[in-house]
Amino acid sequence: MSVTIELNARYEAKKAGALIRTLAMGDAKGVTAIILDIRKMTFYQPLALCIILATVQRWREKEGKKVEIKYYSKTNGGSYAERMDFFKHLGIQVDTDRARHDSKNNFITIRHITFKTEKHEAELSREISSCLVQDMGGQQATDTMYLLEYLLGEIIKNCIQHSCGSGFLHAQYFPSDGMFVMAIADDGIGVSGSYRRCDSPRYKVGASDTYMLGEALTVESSSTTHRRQASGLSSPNYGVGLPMCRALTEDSMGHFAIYSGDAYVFDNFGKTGTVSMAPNKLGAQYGGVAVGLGFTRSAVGQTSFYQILNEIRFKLGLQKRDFSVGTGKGFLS
Amino acid sequence: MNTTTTIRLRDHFTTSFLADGNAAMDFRRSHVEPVMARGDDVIIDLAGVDNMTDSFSNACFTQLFVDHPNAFGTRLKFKACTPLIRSFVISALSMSERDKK
Repeated sequence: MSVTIELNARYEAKKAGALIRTLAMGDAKGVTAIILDIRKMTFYQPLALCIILATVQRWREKEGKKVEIKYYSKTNGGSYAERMDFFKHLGIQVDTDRARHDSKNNFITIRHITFKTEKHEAELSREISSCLVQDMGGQQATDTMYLLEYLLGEIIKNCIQHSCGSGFLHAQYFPSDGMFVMAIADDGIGVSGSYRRCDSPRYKVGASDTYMLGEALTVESSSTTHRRQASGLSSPNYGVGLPMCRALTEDSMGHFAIYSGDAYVFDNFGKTGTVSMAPNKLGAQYGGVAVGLGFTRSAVGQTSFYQILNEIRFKLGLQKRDFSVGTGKGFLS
Repeated sequence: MNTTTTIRLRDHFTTSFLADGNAAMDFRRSHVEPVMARGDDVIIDLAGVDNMTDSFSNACFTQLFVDHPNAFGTRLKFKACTPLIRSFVISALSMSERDKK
């Protein structure tokens, strides 16, 4: 059975849930061929682009479905997608006479992240973040770069360590609203699957995806945290990466989005008074994990990055304010 | 008198940003633990390291503090830390204190 899925013109980060529910038509029982129509595309934010790529990859490579893409490459939306290497990752060769490398430091092309990624997370994060801050200067550039690479390092690590699949990474700066936005989406086993695969004591048979996503966003509650406690040296995971990323986006008036299974969180901290939301039901299944992060450029650089990190550690209960190590005694210089 | 061995992290990693928790664990096991095991004092030299993630810091330092609870300030010292890197080391030490409880 064949199905045609027509996508909307725009998918901002907050519309990722709607996108996943639309794409779920391709997961209906009996569907073996999918026509994905993206001809209306005018503007898809990084999270949307990555979710589409990871879903198409799952359909084709894991489920053996035939996927045909209907697209325009000469429209504004098509040209935008081509510049991001979106078509390339969909397996479409687009002829263009436009010169490459014209990102004006506003974006990096979409990267495919696998266990065998040529560059590990540190190299990739440094490369991307240094590219995106090229037009900035002084301490704000340094702190923005540190924040970018911290967030990228943690989400790339999560994808590599937990997904058992591969993912797509994209990062962009939007001058119109002064936002740095980054996303990674994989076609892996999802949050619940990771807890189950790792025999985590936090996994509960029959627990909902919303429950398991809540666990993943709780400090020291990663799917592999128990391995550290059970066998000393076997796992390095302390389960602070995602909670720290979430708190950093809150501190910088950004957004934090995560979708996995039938669960999602979307925090829009740019809105005054927004607090972190509890996981909700998505109303569709997203096979892997998709994470979208954003932060406001103007919110960074007022305070040093290390002071921001310290405040967040205090807030998350990872460190006490009065914790002292005797820095004046030469132990730590 | 104890021998002091200085271990320079930058010699073992290709970037000045450190993010890979698995690489941190491998580094600790293969380069720090053997030196601690033979009884040397250790200075971890962080010159040239300008940023890291908590995943790296916890995998490398927190577990080191957990496994050698009384070593910090006696057999185990850190040098050439920027304020940012110092904050990661302090956080790792704080995390190790939580592990003891």
